[in-house]
Amino acid sequence: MIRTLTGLIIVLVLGAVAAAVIPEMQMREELQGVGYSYVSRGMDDTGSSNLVTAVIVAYRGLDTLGEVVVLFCASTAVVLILTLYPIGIKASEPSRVVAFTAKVLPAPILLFGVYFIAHSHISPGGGFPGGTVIASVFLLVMLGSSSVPDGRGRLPAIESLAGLSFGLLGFWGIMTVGQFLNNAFLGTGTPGTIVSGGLIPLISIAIGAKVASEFSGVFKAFRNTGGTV
Amino acid sequence: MSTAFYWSIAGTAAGLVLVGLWGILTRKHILRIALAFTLADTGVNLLLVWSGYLPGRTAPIVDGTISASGITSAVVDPLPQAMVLTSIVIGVAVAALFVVVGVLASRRTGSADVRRMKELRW
Amino acid sequence: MVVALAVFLPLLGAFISVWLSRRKPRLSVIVSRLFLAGGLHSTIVLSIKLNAWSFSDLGNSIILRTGVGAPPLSINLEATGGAVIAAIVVYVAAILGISRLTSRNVKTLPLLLSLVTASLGLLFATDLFNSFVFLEIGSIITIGLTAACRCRRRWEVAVKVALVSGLVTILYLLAIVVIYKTTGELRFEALGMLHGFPALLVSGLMLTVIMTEIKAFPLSGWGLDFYEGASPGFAGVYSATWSLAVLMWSAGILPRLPIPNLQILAWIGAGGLVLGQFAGFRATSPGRMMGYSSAAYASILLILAGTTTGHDYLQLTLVLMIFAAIAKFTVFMLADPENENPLKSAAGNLLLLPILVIAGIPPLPVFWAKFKLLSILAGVSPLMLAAVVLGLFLEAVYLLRLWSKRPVRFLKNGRLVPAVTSLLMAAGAIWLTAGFWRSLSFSGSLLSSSTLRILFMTVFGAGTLLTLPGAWNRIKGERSYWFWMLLSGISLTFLPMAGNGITFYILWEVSAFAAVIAVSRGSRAAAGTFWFAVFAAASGFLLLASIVLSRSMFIAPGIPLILVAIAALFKLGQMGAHLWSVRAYSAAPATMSAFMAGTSSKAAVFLLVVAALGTGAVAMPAGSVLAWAGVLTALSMAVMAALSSDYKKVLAYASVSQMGYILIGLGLASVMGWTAAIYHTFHHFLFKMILFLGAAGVIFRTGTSDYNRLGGLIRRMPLTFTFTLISVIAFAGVPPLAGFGGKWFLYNGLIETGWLPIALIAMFASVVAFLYAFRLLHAVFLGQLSTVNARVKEAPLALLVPQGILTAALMLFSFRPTLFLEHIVPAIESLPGLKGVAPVINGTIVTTPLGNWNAWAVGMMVMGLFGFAFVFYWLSGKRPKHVGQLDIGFAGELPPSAEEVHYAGNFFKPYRRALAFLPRIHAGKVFSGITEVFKIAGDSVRAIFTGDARTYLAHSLIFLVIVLIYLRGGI
Repeated sequence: MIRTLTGLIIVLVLGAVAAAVIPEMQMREELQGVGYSYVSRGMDDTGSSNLVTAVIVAYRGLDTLGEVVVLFCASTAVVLILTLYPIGIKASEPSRVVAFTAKVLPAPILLFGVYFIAHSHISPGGGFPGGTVIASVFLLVMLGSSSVPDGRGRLPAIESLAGLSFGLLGFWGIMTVGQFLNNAFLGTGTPGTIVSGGLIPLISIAIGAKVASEFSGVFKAFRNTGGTV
Repeated sequence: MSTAFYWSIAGTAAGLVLVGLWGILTRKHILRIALAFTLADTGVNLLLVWSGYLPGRTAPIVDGTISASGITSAVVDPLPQAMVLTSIVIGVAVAALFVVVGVLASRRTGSADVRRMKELRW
Repeated sequence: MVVALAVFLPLLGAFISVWLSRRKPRLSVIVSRLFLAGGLHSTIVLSIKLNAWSFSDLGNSIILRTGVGAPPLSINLEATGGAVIAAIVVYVAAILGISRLTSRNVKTLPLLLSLVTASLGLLFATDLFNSFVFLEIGSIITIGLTAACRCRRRWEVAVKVALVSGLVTILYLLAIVVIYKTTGELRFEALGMLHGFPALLVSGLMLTVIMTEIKAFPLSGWGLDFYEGASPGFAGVYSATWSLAVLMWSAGILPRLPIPNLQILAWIGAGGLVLGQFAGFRATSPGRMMGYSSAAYASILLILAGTTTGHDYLQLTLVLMIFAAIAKFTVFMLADPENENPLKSAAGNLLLLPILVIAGIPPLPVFWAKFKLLSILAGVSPLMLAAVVLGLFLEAVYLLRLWSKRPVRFLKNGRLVPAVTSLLMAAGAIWLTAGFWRSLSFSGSLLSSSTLRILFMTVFGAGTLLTLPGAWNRIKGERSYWFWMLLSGISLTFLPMAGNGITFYILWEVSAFAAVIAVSRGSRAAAGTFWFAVFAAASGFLLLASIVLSRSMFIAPGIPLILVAIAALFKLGQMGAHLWSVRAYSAAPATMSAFMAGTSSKAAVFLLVVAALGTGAVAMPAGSVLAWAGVLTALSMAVMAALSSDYKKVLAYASVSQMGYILIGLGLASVMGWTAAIYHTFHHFLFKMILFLGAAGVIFRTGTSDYNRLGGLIRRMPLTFTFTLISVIAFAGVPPLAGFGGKWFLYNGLIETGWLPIALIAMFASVVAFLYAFRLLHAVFLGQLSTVNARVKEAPLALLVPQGILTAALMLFSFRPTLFLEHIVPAIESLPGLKGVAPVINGTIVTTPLGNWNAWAVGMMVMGLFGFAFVFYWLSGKRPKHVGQLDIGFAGELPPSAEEVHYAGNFFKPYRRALAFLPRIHAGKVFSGITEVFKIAGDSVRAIFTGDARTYLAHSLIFLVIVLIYLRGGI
């Protein structure tokens, strides 16, 4: 009772604050601040015609490295915890529909994921969504069979390699132009073509591989524990 | 039209955050609290996108429809979109970890009620 | 380049170890250590480049540009001097903690390494959204590593941390939306561009985020549960890596908050410090105590942000946070991971240093920062100063409890880590002390009279030297304490040379806490040490408060002087503070008791003298209060001494009682009174040292201090008996020996001033003193020799020789007191402001308004009479018959045990009946009352930490609402 009341009061007061502060944030008609600079200089600076990718991978690449680390740590932690304390999801024999789908769909989905990653600098997409799409293939294959894919445990190796290459690409920038995660020192190419955007495609591939292997690892951890409880 | 859209998005987002906070403060089931967090998170992400909104503009990707010269008056702010991507990924990561921890916690304490998890206090 | 290596090398290591830890676990630990070592090397290179070790140009920085372009488009990492030093601590903690964390499961390696990168990223961050990403990494790793440990409550803690960090995420992102929407950028500088309502909202949100993250009271609930419930290994690493990074990051953000009056932060901090530490005062679990202590440091950060700026701010935050982090890390690393409640078995010996560091005892590094902070606060607001001092004192109390209640033993393994961190703390102490050396002064200008200065130095120095040899004769269960006694003695000896407040304070505290350590090494020290430490801390903080309040003077009149008087009373064990002194004197190793009762108690006399003189003229506004306190203590403690039947306790009560006379003398504020006080100070030193050293000999030989098991030792230990007899006669205050002189001047002064009631009570107290003196001689040395002691030997030379020297001095000054007085009286006469007439010294005759005292003549007469009686006895030819202790019959029955027929058994039964009411009203009750009040206050404060995770979330949100309402100036 007291809790509900407290919650209600807090929410009401914060609602009042929101009602007071939101009208102060008038809609703008023009780009402002750094947004304007990103749009006006983005293509010249980075060679990426996808400006969101330009911001994510080039301008604020450090945030993205952090983001990768967030995902990396979360997946490591989840896998670690689930290995230590199995949660006990029972693995059941896949239905025929699932089994069939798992045979047919992986190739096109994989292709889609790869496209997502490879074209992140010229069209909507990027390492994160692409990696997630690829990981969904892993999930599908896993659901479609009673055994666990990646029985030999290569996922961590991929994860390691992808992470290392992201980091080393960052250091490459320092060694050439003294700027960590700089993408432009090799030349930015013609915006709109596949070989453009400097290091952006490479970084996207690293991110994609890393995200894909991490999510796959998490899926695997859930399944791995299935039989033990 | 775009003004109404603008304010309604803000209102919806703020509403989502408030509902989420209310849920966080009053729910007892640990997964419901996780759900409330996701709600509030969604609201915040919506607010982030909203903060970069400009009326009548398109996504900040240069393709055939946008000329490089007039781009500054054709696209919306890319930074909030970049931030929201980061925020979504972080949200997913935290939610996954939270659910795992929450499920295990409820298994070990025998109840998903957070009120039971107060052996540590004072 | 170097910055990038420093920040990202551990991350590369993390990426490698996620694979390697599955294939080659041992190799992965080695590789990770190499990566950490590489990163550490880079940070050290950075610190040298930035000249950060001077602690003076902490704002200098090296910038790492990232991405494309320049800020605000891209993100910089800025390695400032302060952040680099904190980064070194992070690295050291990670390298030292790695074996503890990975001993169970090597797969935690990637998380640990990533935590280092996240910490450094946060330390060097310049961008709000970038900080957010690093904050999230830290939270996730915290949740993951908490859940991965093997401690029982891991799930509860992990859920709480996850819930709180989820809320922080939401609030922080809301702030970022407002900031970006309003200013169009995300650098820290954007905070300064905010105005009006957005500024208010952002301030509220950011303040809530920061206070939750740094675990400042009242948003500290989750942190307390975390420190209590997480595995000590991870809690330690966490506190020196992530927690430190968050604190330093917050230190960078707080001053930038767009709040019109930043001083409100200081008030939030001061209030939180007091309330939070009241709650911490009640904590019983060691982990939780560390949690409360970290809440204290978070509050101090808020206080600093609200009251200091610029260089002071950088330096103070850095010193406070890094050394507290190292100390907390050490405490957790000392915990035994195999134990069910790991911190309860923390090794006692190594535990003390980090505890003293956190409590801020000089000359340990945190002290310098705390002293500077308090000096600044004295100029801001006395109320805030009082709050902070009280909060720090409460923190010291529970920290000392944490230390004193631990079983004292070493860890079997893992001693390396605490040893390394202890070295770091010691190095910090030396480094900072060297840095502040110029602010110290040893000119001795606090006491203008060089005669008195030399007198006190002689007492302190001689006391130290004469007790030192005895420290090697330890009884079973005592551990070596000579070093601490020597340290305490050396600082005391230099005390009269102190030329300013801070020097005096440092010497005072070093001496007090070295004594605490020495006492703690006694065989039955557990009971005595804690209260000793608490009162030492209390008098230390009172002294500190009055020194910072007095500013340029040593002790200013008014409140500072009153505080100092209370501090001195505590130190002297007066007015109920015998609670500590009696327990400590009887618990300490016997020689240490001699040092404390005989020598170091005189430090408080010195403090009172100096403080009274420091005000320009001797001003004792509350002199009669002092005198009454002294006389009541003298009486009640004399009664307690008479009723007690433990050798050392009797001596302990007796010394407290004797200190009462000194207090009366000082309170008189007349030449006669001060002469009495100084005279008694010196002679009390002589005879109390003899008595305690004698007791040390008896206890060393017999192994007991219980009257009922002693007796008849005159035949086994004749020399000890002789020395004890002489000093008993001396302190009983009868002519011809020295005790008489002190009483003579005292009664002169009392009658001169007209304080007759005090004089009467003092006289009655001296009568009671006869009782315990008489009993002491009988119970220990006379009567029948107990069978168990039939073969004891005379006390060792290390104890006898000092007693002999002291007795010789005592005899000399007893028969020729003018040798002493002809120097002292002129010195006291020359002190400004003392009223009344001085005693006149003429040859061997001392003349006062009440008459002449010719100690030489009286002495000769008494000696003559004694000689006559002795010759008469000798010639009479009657010799006593020696009988065994059980050689008696009780109506034909044989007494079952020696105790029941012991001469001293239940010796003062009638007096005990008659005086039974006195102990009941003694002032020790006052302190248990105060303790009770503190406990109730603590319980009511800590009730807000219900343990329900949602309550903690509600705290943060309620705090947000209150801050917003306050900033808006009302609803």
